[in-house]
Amino acid sequence: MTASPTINGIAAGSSPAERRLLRTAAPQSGFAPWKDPSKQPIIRFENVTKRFGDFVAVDNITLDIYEREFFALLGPSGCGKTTLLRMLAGFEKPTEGRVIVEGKDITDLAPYERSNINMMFQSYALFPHMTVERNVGFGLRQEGMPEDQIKARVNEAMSLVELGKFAHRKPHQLSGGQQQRVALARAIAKKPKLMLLDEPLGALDKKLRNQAQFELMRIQEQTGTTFVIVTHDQEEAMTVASRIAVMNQGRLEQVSTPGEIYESPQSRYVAQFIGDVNIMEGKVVSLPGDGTVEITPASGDGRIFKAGACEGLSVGQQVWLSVRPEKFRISLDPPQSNVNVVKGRVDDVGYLGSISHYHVHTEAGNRVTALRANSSHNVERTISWDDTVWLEWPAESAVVLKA
Amino acid sequence: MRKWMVIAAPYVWLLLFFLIPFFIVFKISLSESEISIPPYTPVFSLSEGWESIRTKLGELDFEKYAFIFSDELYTSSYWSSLKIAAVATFLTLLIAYPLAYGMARAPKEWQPTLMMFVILPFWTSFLIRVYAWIGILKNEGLLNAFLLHIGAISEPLQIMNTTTAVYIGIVYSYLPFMVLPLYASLEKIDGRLLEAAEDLGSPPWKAFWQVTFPLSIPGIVAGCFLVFIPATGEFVIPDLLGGSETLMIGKTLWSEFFNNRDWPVASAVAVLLLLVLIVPIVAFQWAQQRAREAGR
Repeated sequence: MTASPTINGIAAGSSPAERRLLRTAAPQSGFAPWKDPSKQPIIRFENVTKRFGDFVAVDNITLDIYEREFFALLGPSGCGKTTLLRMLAGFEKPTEGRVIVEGKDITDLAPYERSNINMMFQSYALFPHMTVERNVGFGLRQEGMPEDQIKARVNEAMSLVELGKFAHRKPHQLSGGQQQRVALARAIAKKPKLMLLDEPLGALDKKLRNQAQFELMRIQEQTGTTFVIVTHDQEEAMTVASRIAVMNQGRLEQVSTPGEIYESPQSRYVAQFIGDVNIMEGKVVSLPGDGTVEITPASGDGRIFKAGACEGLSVGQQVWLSVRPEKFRISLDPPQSNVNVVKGRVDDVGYLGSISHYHVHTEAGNRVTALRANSSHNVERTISWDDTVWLEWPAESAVVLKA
Repeated sequence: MRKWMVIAAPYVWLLLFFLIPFFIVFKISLSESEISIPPYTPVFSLSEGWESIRTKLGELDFEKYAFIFSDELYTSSYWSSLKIAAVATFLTLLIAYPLAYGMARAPKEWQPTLMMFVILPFWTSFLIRVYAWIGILKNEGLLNAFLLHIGAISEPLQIMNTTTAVYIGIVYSYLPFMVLPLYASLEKIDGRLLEAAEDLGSPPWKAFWQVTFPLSIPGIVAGCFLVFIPATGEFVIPDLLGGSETLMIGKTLWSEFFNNRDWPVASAVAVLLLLVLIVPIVAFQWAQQRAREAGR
């Protein structure tokens, strides 16, 4: 899993304990089974479609997820991510297509027949009439495991989530964070091959959520279980996931590592969904053949943007250039080069301590956002409202999007 | 001042319509019967002065209670009432549970309609509905005619004037009181709990006994009390459907008042009935309180 601490700001604000967790949870570099053609995926969705009446919740998705992955399904509500997860658990049956887990077609198996898959539910779904201990042991009791073994496994699961002393409480006597741990322990107690998490941290406040994310990573690493998490929180997905599938209207927009998703999104949708981004429309004017592309902005004032080319571009094609706010260099003086520069007027300044946001109204009529770190060595004049500024960016930090 | 009025209102209500009538009945139960109007002595009269009231108070005794306990008719009436009420409550539960479960599982937009069907019988008088059962159950009634017609029986079943008819009447009349609390507790159960049970390896029928049933116990308890308490003192149903064969305390009470015109004994029977019912009523209150605390 490639956590991106600099993006979500956790490394800066985290406690030493969290940083330690981050290190222990960091995977052996080179964990990328999806790049290894000899690896068999643990989960395979084959042309899976799910319709509810006229509504297409999941639209012909084919997706492989590999063992020991922490896979995130990310998207806005109604994008089909939960339906996809529920098809793995067995609560929904695909209208078309097959779901294969560990080489076995499980499309038609009922949830209770999928003994190697367990789910942690949104808002936990703890049994209110049972103690924590009974909740955690519920799955094991269904298997008819002897009581002394159940006790041992329950204790193991509870110590994994650091919840030992609450064994005899009822769920309503626990805080939200404790309930979340019970839910996790209950799902993990059966030692599933595959753990499904439906918005597992949605009910926690922000601080607790950050902590819980690292804990999920620790537990995933310790148990070696494959995790599939559904979330609408892009920071959460970026933090925990080895790969992220960004979903939109039942389709997969992009399936990549968090780093790739952020640095080289394949569509405007993905670029805009993950972090802040400035999108500028333009047309391809030339492809010099050195792996770059020259683009003229849609406003057509003769300026040229240069960027790394992607496949399948042709001269005259409409494209979009995406530049992250932190990639801009904002200055009060015109830069020497005329490439990858826009001129504009500062509309708004947001001072956030370590960084400042600048909303710039460009000559072409776009509104773009630039970020600048407020380092102590910054001797330049402060930039203020209504200043005329130039925004410049290196060619390699702009991404050309075809859609 | 306003606050006191709000607090006092229910107590004044209780005093006027429960405690004072109760003490009147209680006082009669301590009197002697006599052929007069009213049919008991002594009758207090303020015009005769305090002295006479004091001597008359001295004439009161608990003799009638001793009589009730010595005569088997009364004890077996109480006993049989409790038994009939308990069996009828259980039968009502058996019928109401699937009904309430079906209602709670029905599509949301259907539930208000189904609820209305359950409440619909209340739109007609209770008495008329019980009379209607006579038409169904009697020997030449609808049920027997139907069974004879399809050839299931060769001669009419004697259902009227048996305890069976009383069971049918109680189950029918008190069904809504069982269905509504059951529905309320079943409807509250989060469907995800059942999904979680299934996910953890419990097939649906097992999940019902492990999750749905235990979570519906407050509804079962409330429904059983709501049926059992009024059914124990029921008069109309055993009188109209049970005939002479069924012994229920409500009927005994009625005949004591109106056939025997022995008001003191009848009053003592009423006071004892109240005492008998106080036990389940207190238990009910306690269960409700506990359910409320668990629900927090």
